Amino acid sequence: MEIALALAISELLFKHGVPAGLEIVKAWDCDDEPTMEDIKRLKEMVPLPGTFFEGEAK
Amino acid sequence: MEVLKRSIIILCIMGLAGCATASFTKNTYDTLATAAETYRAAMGSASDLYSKGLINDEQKEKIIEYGEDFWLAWHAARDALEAYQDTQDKAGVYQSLAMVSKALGSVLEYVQGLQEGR
Repeated sequence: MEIALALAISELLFKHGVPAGLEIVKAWDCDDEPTMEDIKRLKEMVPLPGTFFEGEAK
Repeated sequence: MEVLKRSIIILCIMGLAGCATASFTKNTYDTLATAAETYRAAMGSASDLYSKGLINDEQKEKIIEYGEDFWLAWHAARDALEAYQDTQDKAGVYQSLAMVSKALGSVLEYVQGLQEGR
């Protein structure tokens, strides 16, 4: 990962809060090899972008 | 803020180093999970800006456009990882991860620009 991208991610995490950072660190859990079920469940992590704006009214 | 920023970077590097002996599947899984969390943080930030009236509908649509590119790339990479369990085709996974990285970069760059008022 390029340093510039890593720095951009870090800055974004700070603007968005520590919980997001903790989630990212948690993603690097070295203990368990992901199962096929884990890989399938990954799908749930990335919803369509429009869903983030549902119910948002200006 | 700078100290905290550096701490997070160091934590991330430690996480990567600690998993140096992890399998290809584990590393790819972690990379996808990280990209997903970063995407969610960026989109959440963008949504926040929109709800506060700090970005307009056109900008919102642009973010969604970049987000859709990322969504496509990320799910293709996830599919490639799933297929890898049978095919052991690392090249396909690497290729798809490169697309994820590129798409995520576009999302972050645009959202960062909006946050800076560009």
